[in-house]
Amino acid sequence: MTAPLDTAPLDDAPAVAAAEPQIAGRSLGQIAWGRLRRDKVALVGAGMIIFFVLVAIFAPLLCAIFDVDPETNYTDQLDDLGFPDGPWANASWDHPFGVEPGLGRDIFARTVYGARYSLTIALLATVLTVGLGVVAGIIAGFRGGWMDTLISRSMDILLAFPVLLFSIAALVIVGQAQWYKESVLYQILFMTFVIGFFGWPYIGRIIRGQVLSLREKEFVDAARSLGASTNRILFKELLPNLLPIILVYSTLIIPTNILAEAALSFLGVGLQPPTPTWGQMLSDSRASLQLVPSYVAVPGMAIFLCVLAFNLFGDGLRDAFDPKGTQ
Amino acid sequence: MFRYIVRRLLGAVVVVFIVSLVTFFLFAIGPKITGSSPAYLYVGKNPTPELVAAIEKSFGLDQPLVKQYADYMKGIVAGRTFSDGTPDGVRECPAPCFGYSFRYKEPVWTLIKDRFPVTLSLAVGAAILWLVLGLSVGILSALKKGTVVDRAAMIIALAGVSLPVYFTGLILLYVFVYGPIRFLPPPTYKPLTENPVAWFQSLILAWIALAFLYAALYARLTRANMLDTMSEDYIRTAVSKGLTRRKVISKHALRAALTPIITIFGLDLGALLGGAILTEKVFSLPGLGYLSIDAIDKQDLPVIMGVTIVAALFIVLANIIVDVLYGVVDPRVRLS
Repeated sequence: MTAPLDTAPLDDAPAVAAAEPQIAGRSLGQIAWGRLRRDKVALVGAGMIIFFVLVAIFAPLLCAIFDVDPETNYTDQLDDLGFPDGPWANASWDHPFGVEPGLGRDIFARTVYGARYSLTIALLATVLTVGLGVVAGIIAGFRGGWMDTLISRSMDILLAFPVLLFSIAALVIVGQAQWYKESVLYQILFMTFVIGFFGWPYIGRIIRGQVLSLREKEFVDAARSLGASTNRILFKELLPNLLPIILVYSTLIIPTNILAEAALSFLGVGLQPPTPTWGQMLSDSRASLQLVPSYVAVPGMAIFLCVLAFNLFGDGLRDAFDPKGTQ
Repeated sequence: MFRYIVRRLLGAVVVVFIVSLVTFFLFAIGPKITGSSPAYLYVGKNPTPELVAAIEKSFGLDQPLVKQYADYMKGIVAGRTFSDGTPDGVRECPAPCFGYSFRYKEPVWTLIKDRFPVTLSLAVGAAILWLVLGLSVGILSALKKGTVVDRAAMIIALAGVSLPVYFTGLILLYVFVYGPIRFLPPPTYKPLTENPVAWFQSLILAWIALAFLYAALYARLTRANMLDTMSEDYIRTAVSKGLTRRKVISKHALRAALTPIITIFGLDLGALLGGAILTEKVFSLPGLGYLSIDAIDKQDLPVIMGVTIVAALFIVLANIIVDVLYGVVDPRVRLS
């Protein structure tokens, strides 16, 4: 057993010397990318995300293939009592997931279109949350003084809000207006605002903490002594160092927002019917839980898998950027 | 310590005050935009405009908003009396008066007091379940890092945080209540003091649904904290001192790993006590969450105001309690 131990360093020595030029200079981004590529679980998550995005983009095409429409009532699929005329919500090649009890709309078409609204709102809300959080965090951390006090206190107050209760209330009040009821675009924008707005203190606090420690670092002093403007320090010196955190938290905020959109829709204050959303389908399916359980399963699994996909990928991304992680 | 608590309590009063202010103006201005009035709830369908105006006047709804808000705040401390002008129309609302629900025909505080035990039962039961489950799975996972047990536990935990509580709830309801096996009766809430068995039966599925979500979160968190702590220098010192693994874990690692959990647990419980809206809705539990969405649905402003303020109060108080406890448990933290 001693022989290999003795010879091993000798064998490796030339190899290390030859590889030396490659060792130098890998950025955090490159290291993270290298780790991510080897993280199978994260790649599965990424694959699932791509799948859901493609489904959302090509929803009309998918519906055209099966010749179904999310708002048509396929009453011929229902029995006399208004229930699907067969097991599994009367699933068939014509209606892959069957039809919903009552109105007889195609569950597949509604689920596929639901992906569009769910992802659109979740992504837009994430942009809003992260945008507000990053700007507020940087100002609070970098400026300090009364600005920091003001922003930090606002964050404390927002964190004490019963957010879900408040979002529902705001949506109900706006929901009374005729212009809101008639426009899907306004509904999407307002949902985005309600979901996105209350989330910013969480990321704002993290960014503030990071900026507080970063601004004392030597490279910021160096930039300042070279005569760099505040803007240059903020955007060229600080922001690149914040990007990994922003990226990781954005990926982890998306699933939270998907769940928030689904929850508000489940409570009936999300996008208004006939616009299909997963939460609303789940809420509708409760009434026929006993007789058509598969109607509960389809939108429920859609929410679950979509959220899981982002969580898998977000976890992988966080590990990849973790400075304490092994390379 | 005493000064710290007093200062924090004063801060809490400010926060709750601002929450109440925002809620009040949202609901006072909101109906004006959409053209409805709380008075409609009192007079019923299709009233004459004169009657609505008279009701608004007698309940002070025609007053400037600032005056209305001041009256509301005064009512919380001193109580109020509402009157619609007729001898039968006098409504007493003793302190703390969070307003009077025109729909339920009862003071809001009475409604909140009646519903709170339901939410309390739900939150406390679920909390016990998720603490035991989440912490033990998290610790076990960290100690067996990389093994099949760890991987399986973490996959289940990741699924747990990705499942919306209302979907888990519907699955549980199907499997145990409405599906082929009728294991439990459909949930109808009964107070613990009245019928403990029915109380337990109506809550058990809700506890499991809610606890599954939180247990998953806590297991992930505990595992991460444990692994962080186990790689600290003082753990290595303890091991090299010759302490047994059991002693190192129980005396040194657990304490440091679990203190951050106290913070999160306090905040989660505080938020839940203000009403677990989704869980209460799925399992038809008549708690604060159910009361509030019902009130929002019916535009019952006083009830929404009351529940929002109480919910904010729970969150803020939980924050303070957690910070004080943290100072006690973690000797590195000194409150000042």
